[in-house]
Amino acid sequence: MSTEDLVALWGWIYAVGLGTFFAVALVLIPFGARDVWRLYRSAADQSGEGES
Amino acid sequence: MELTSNFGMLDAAIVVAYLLATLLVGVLANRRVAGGVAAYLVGGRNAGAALNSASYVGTGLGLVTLMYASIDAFSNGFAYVTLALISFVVSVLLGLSGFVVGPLRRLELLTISEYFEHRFDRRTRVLGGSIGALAGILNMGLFPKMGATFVTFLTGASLTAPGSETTVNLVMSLLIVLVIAYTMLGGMLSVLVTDYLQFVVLSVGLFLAVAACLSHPLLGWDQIVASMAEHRGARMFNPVADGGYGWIWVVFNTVVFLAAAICWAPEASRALTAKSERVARLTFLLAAPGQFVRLGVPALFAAALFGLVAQSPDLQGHFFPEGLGGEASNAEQAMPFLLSRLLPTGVLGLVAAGMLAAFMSTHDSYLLCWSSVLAHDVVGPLTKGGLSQAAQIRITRTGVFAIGAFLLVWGVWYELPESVWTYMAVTGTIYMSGASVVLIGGLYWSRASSVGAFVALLGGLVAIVGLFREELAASTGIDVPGEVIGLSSFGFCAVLFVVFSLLFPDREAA
Repeated sequence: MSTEDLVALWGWIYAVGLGTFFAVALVLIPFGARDVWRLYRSAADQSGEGES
Repeated sequence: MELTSNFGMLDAAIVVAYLLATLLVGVLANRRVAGGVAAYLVGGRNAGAALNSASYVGTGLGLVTLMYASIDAFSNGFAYVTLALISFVVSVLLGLSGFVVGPLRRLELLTISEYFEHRFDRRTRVLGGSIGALAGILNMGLFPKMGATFVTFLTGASLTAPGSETTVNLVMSLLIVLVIAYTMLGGMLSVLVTDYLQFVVLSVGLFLAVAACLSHPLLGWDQIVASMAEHRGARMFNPVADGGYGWIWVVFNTVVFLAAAICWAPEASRALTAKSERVARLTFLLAAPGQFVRLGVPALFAAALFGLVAQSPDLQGHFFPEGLGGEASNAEQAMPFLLSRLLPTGVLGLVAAGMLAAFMSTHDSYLLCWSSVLAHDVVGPLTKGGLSQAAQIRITRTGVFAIGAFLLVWGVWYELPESVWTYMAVTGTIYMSGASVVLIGGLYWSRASSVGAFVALLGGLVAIVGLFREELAASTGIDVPGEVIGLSSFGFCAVLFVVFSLLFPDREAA
């Protein structure tokens, strides 16, 4: 594979890699916030059970 | 172009606000961990896929990872990004297949070493926990110093005041104290939540930094790749080109990434915190792009700086004194220097907060995982009658404090070795070479025996030789590359495991 081909390949790899990451981040950020809320509620319930 | 920084008061204010928010999370989480040891060590096994993935990426996107990736890529360009691709593929394959990850989650364990007793015997668990904690704590040794180096050059502190290195070390010490505080208070709950916050800040920061890098009038993609191709040739794009890394490096790192994902406690514990096996597998799938970004983005920053250096004789003298085709100098300054010059005030503060987030998210996971391994897999099994849940949490908290104190004394004020990556890979291999073989063999090979597992774990200690590679080369004249030592360690452990399992089968299997 020539250097030109490798440069083009890395261009595609970066475009796909970065694009996918930021797209997934857009999904993980709101749904992660929901999970944090649920985790706190579930930990609070367990904490209440532990204390009783 | 001069060696200066755009870091200002607004940037400092953004960083301080972020750090205070992190401490608040730790305090809030502390009120929620009265539910027992499972709540403290694995967040009650209630993390959803999005939170678990964000936390997993937050742990992997450590400042030390960003730093050593930029150091390597400064000389080797996108050839280094082959590791990012390997890491991405490993994460996707684990998510799709559920290899190791699925069976581990089904067993409802608190730590990876606990599996060694479940499948083999108690002494294997204690040995696995001891070697894991030793390797993990040694592996953390360089984190604070790398963080301090980053802050020194990002803020321009090294350029503005004599003796500023001491100030930076003090700031880094305060940061570690902050991490110790919120990890001790909230356990895995606060680790998951602060990792999530850090993922958010880091995602925004990296997006802005990449955009600034690619849209800069002196840079852009075409300029970056043209500079590398012109001055350093194909080895900047192809890892197996002449003068490049070579195939052994590629194979060794593939093995290391697989081993880390399944048995390196801070990363593999995400399989244990997941709500279900499906969520554990989804975590690895969703985190795969993050595995690419954690090495690919710092490599892009380093390549961008190379593009700037090629246009500036002053910078060339500082970073490539022998010429652009020769050895790089001061490579650890590459990424912080580029960011400090490229980003405007305000954005720089956000990126700095993101990078410090990366620093903290790795520390919290490592502190909690290795101290919980010590409490749960070493002290617990050796205590007559076992430990109560309260005692386990108390010992884990003590471990977080003790390891943190060790880091403060040894990590911040100790001089960096010449090769950071070699140190990291070797210390990790001490545990991973034996543990990954024992874990895979235990899950998928019915003739695996306790003696085989015990001997294979001990076999991983041969990787310590790698720490003295330069001294051995000087005295014997034979320089064995770090990747050869590392790959040999994995092979050695696998042979020990198979041979001793066949020679000394367990009674039930015999």
